Amino acid sequence: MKVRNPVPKKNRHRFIVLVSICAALLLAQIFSDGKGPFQLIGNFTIIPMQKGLSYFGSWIWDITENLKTLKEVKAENEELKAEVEKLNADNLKLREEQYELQRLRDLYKLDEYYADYEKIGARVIANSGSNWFSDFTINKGSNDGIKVNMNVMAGTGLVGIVVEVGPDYARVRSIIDDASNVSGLILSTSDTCIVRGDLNLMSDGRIRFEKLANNDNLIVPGDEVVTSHVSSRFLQGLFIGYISEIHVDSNNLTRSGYITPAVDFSKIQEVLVITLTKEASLQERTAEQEAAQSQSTTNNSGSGTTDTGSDNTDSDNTTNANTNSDTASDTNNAEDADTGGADTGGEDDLIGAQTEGEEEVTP
Amino acid sequence: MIRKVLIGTGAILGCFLLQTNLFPAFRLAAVTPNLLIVLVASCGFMRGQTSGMLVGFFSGLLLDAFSGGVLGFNMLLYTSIGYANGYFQRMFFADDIKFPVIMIGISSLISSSLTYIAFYFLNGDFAFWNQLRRVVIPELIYTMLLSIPLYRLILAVHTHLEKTESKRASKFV
Repeated sequence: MKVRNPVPKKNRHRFIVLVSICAALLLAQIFSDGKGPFQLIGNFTIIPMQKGLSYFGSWIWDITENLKTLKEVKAENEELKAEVEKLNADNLKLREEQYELQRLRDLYKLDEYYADYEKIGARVIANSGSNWFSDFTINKGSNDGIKVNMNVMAGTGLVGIVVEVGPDYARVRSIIDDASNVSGLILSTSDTCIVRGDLNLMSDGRIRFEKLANNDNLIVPGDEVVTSHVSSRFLQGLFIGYISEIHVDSNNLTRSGYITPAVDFSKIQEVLVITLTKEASLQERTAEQEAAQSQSTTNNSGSGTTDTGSDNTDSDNTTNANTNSDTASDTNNAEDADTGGADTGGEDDLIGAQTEGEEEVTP
Repeated sequence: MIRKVLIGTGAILGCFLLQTNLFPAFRLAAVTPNLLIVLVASCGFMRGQTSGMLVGFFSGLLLDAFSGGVLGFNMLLYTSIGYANGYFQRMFFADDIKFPVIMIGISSLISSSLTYIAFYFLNGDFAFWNQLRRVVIPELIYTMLLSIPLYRLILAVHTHLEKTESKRASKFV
């Protein structure tokens, strides 16, 4: 026997109450960032369950993996041995080049750009339960030193950026998400472009790049794309992927195309979080420059030795000017052609560019 | 009453964990099914507006708070879907499978369309047919297929609850 509510109006009142709670929460978020107490509640209720399930899942996966036939493993072993030999030879050659590179880097003082970033390993414990977004939860949070805007990698490739941190978990938005914008750099020609996630490409695991200047530099499929010096949120020189398709836009001024990312986004299990944020690295650099400048000014009384010092600061300043103008043009581009979901990224970059400019102009 | 709350909480949690942890491993056509919408819609037309909107409210809260996104959007959406499904309680008969599957399908269609409008259309992405083909339709089909077994499970729990309730009522009299 179904029990009907004797007063249907009562239901409507309840509904209105619930809806106004939701509306209040939505409105509250305009004025405040983050989800307040829910992060803490979730940390002790949902996250442990997700962690448990994910460990259980990987345990099952390991068992099925172990059942691979011996034959397969043997064949793979042969293959790998051959590869090791080949890699050993390659390695030797590379090491020789490494020494040369080190010497040249010392000459150009480029060391800091390619510094080995410190990383924390983390496990992916849950995906977003939606088909519209591409983000996931990892099992490390602020207790392990994770902060918002830290870059996340898997193996050698860039995966995404931390957008939300709880005590024992963090949410990562991957670079194939529709709302994601990364400033990229073509390694072979040093041209900058914008790497943008797209919902339609999410399922293929491809990403789009756009706003690459249509200049004389020849760029072909297979060229590597890394994060550029312009970005305000991504560290310089993180590997994004290879260009798979490139064409000139109908405006004849820019080129765009697709990138095959270095990471297989459908099978991410372990990730590495870089503990240095771009903001922190920029601050470090300005501090260093200030120190260098004050040193050179104190040394200025002499004549012979100061020459090199002033030279150094001069060149530093010019590179700064370059990066500043780059950011400016970059944000202009982003604003001009902004029609799609690029809004958030463009704005972020704009804010970044401003702060960057402020930071870098002061010394 | 306590039993009902416990069972409801368990069902919402179970569907949420399945949706975020297990089903991403079983993607078909690159989509995951929306189990929570099955739960919310079935609670709506099985048990009425009140439980529909309550289950919707807490499912939405779970999704919004622990799965990224804007806090409040899914809550609003799922509460309304649960409430609207409650209007169809008089059309619900336990042994008819077509009606629930159609109701769940319509709910899924509406929820994904509104998500598209809120997060993509208002951001200037007008390629609705593309998104319909890529996300909305595959998700709809997958969800409707899964809704058949899941619905039977929910129905079994529901009839069990009703039975114990009526037993208690008769004892009381």
